[in-house]
Amino acid sequence: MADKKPPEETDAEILERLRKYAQEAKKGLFSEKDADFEERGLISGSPDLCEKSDAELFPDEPEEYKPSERKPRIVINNDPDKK
Amino acid sequence: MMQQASYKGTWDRYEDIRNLARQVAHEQLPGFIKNRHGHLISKEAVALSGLDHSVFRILSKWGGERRLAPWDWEDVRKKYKTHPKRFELSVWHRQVLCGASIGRPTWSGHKLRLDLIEANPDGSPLEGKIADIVIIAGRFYAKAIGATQIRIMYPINDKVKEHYLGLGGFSFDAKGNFCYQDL
Repeated sequence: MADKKPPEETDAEILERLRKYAQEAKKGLFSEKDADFEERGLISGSPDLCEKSDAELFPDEPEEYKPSERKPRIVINNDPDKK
Repeated sequence: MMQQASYKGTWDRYEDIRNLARQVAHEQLPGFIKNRHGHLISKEAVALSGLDHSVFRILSKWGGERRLAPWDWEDVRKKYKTHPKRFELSVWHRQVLCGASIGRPTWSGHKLRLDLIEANPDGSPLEGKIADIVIIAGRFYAKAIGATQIRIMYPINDKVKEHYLGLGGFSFDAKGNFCYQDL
């Protein structure tokens, strides 16, 4: 991840910020809607995702590319007609 | 001179942040949660924790041959160990492990990927509410680390996808196969 530095807030400040967000988002935080599927076993995701980079998963989002993935790709064109 | 946060310091700090996010997520649960079978489950009997060795030991025994998509959670854990900012969650009803999830922020730090959500394959008192509880915990962790979007990767089928979309505020990205919600 780009920023390895943890937030410089204290625990109390983080709690306050999250609780404030909870107040703002109160409606819709927890749905009373019943799941229309048997919620047993895998619901979402795949263990293969662990090894996928963001660039692989979200190729249209250049901000998610690591610097090493941002290098311009060199395309070799051996077509003799191409100058 | 600014002091560089040590690796251990960073590690411990994000563990603290995960705990804080889970604490606030738990506070937001209703006093009684209605499960898929219509039973009311007291919030006091529900706990949100991280993923440690004792959890992985239980996860490794989940479902046996009935498990539809078997994989080794221990392998998953090893792969995420290098991500100090990872999201991790275990959902408990008393001594029963009901669900587990793991994920991580994207490179920019602006989005939180929920890469795996699994409910107890044998069923649990929180059946029908695991995904919802994971999403609440994911939202608060995302907020805590400054992310502005959560992404639930690869919903297992259309019914699951429709459930997420019905929660409000979610959209689906067909190309990337994920449901996302801006926070």
